Amino acid sequence: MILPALKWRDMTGMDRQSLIEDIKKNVISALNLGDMSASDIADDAEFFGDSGLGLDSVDALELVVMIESKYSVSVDNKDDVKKIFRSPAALADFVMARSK
Amino acid sequence: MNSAPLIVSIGACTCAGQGAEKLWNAVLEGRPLFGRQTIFDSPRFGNKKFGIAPINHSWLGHGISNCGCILLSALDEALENLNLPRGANSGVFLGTSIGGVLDAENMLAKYLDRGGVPDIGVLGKYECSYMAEFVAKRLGCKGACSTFSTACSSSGIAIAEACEAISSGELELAVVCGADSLSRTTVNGFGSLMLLSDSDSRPFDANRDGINLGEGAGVIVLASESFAYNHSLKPIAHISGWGLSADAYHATAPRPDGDGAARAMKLAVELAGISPKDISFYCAHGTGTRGNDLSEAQALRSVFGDVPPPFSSIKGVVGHTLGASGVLNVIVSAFCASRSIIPPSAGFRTVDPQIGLSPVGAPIHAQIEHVLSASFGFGGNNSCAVVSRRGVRARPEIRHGKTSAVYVFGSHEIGGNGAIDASGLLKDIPQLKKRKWAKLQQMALEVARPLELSRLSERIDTNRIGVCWGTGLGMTDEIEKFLTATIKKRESEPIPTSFVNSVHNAPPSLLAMHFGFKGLNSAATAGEISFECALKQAFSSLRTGKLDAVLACAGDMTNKWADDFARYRRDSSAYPSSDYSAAHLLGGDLLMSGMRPKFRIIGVFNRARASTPKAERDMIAEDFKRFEFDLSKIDAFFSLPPVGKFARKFSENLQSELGYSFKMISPLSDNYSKSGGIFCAADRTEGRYFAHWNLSSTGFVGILIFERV
Repeated sequence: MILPALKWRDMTGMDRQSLIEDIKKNVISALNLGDMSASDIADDAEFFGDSGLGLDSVDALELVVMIESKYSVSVDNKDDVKKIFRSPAALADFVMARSK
Repeated sequence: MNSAPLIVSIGACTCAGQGAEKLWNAVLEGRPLFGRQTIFDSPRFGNKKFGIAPINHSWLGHGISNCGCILLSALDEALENLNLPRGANSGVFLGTSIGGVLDAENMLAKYLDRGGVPDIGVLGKYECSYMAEFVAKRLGCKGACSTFSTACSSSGIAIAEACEAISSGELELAVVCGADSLSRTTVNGFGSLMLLSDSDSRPFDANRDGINLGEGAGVIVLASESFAYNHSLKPIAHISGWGLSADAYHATAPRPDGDGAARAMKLAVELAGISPKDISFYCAHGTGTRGNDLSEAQALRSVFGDVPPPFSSIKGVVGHTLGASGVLNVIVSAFCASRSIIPPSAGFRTVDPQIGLSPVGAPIHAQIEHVLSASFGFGGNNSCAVVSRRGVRARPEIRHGKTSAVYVFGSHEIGGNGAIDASGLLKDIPQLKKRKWAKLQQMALEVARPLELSRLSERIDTNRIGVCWGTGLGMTDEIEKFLTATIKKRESEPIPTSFVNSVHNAPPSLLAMHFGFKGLNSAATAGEISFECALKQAFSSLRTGKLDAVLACAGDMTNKWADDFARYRRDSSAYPSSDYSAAHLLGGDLLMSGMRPKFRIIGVFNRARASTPKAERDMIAEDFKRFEFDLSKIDAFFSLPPVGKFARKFSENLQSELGYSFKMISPLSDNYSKSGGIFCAADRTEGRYFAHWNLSSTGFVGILIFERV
């Protein structure tokens, strides 16, 4: 059974900036980033690679599950994962585009 | 010197049907055999295709799991034409990734759905070692009974350990099994990692998109040359070399340069006393994922140069059978060598420019001397075997690495007194680094750190340092977390990290990554004697010169389900259980310069318990003679408090037969890994010669003889 995709705006009434902040909070809790808070992460902070948060491929898949459950947006192609999950801002744009 | 082990019988049960012959014909035909599964409800992955094996339903009524039924079908075939002489010195080696987890899932699903009293009894099937013990009892095997669970390389490790036992003369006959059935755990786990193919898998193809999970079991019966000769057993093929290694790179992804896989290949070829150009065919792991096939191709290039031998993967036909894949590859390799046909690789159409190699397109008739067979697992756990048409003079020892003795250089233990507070573990490691490590992994690392292992790599080649881990129940918390989330939320939120951490070999692969140890990396499981099985593997790897140092360790954790089951099966006295982990640094002569050993290990082994205490005493005396050691020389005989009425009586009577009273390693048997504290206990005890006897609640014993130096 696939749940009907709820539009994030319908659910929450959030604008882009609030969505980015919300994403940061959900990333921290999904990835067990412990003592970090949303303000520690820049909007365009790189999720992957050594310069940013240093997340790896399993984290990316953890985030796939997270956006599906929190924003009802699914990612079907594994090859897209790294592109979509580049940064909190990029992820917010993806969620917004998919919810239109 | 002993010869290479002979493969004297085989059996298989896969989605190609019951029988090894059916598997071979399906592989030659090269047609995928995948379909939908109806074993359990799967809202999220119901559209995926799987390789479903036939179940012999007559076994299900006997409390055997699906996985066990598939294994028994393969076993029956392997034994059909083989008159196993009673009293042969034989053992059982099993590789399985998840064993009978399906039954535990069904129980949990029912319980979460309807509540009530959970049917705790089925949890016995969750223990990976239960199938091996069932097989050993059914066949009357009195020797070693060991299970290895290192994800997809599980049965590759079981094969290597069985070959060690035969070539060292410990056993005359070894029944090697590999089995896994479909489960919510693996379907949702691989699904959440986006590794399941949308259609039929295409190993090595440019457009490959993942695996088809396949159910399957394979059995090979190995015999020593003299035993086969004396009992007129005709060999199908020979296993003339085996090699194990670790990537020490990532929890799931293989090293992109294939270095770990290449080392396992080279070790197997070296042990067989041949060179890479003697390999006529490579039976690939070839899962059909983007990462594996690319890394495996790199490994092939680094071993064979730009023109590797013909290679194929059977996974485009029968899928990825996880713990069974190592044995099934060896069975196909044995057919290939004995029938002089190289099988094709199903599903391949287009060359991947990144790989630049094409597997075999159609069957090739050719004289085949040696086949290299591979299986690689999560955590960068690699195993390879050389399957040969004719016997070669085996060299089970790597001569340049030979040591005169095996020593224990340091020991450490943590826990053993209720639950450990996880927040107190690895305090100096930042949360960002350890956030994905499960509690048992953190315990394994915490207990190993005082052994100052980082300094080892300055003096010893890290390719020759191994990790042998023993665990009775493995990552119970992670499995529980993963399954509860999966079942409760109807597969909408599987947790990839918990799946990755759920494999029994998650702790040793973390240790390998943390310390950079790239030798053998193993996870043995055998109930209360899991540590002894791990120690035995460490001992034989060092004694035969395959490694220079090994971290031999064990750990288990307290878990509500496990405690309920223990109360149900064993005894209520020792529960609730504790968190406990122990680690020991073992090494040979090379470590002697610069380090002072505490103990020398004289012998370590596992076998079935004798029927009476008197017979057990006689057997122990025989065992000791094998190591040229006299029972009367022992200063202290260690054991653990027996659990259950029968074990208590047996232990009491054995002590009076032996004329020793056992010294208890710990006052409570409240953790499967408690025997891991043996060297710590001996450190606190006077005397020179020590022995240890440990009885598992399923009727097997682990025995250790060692000396203070």
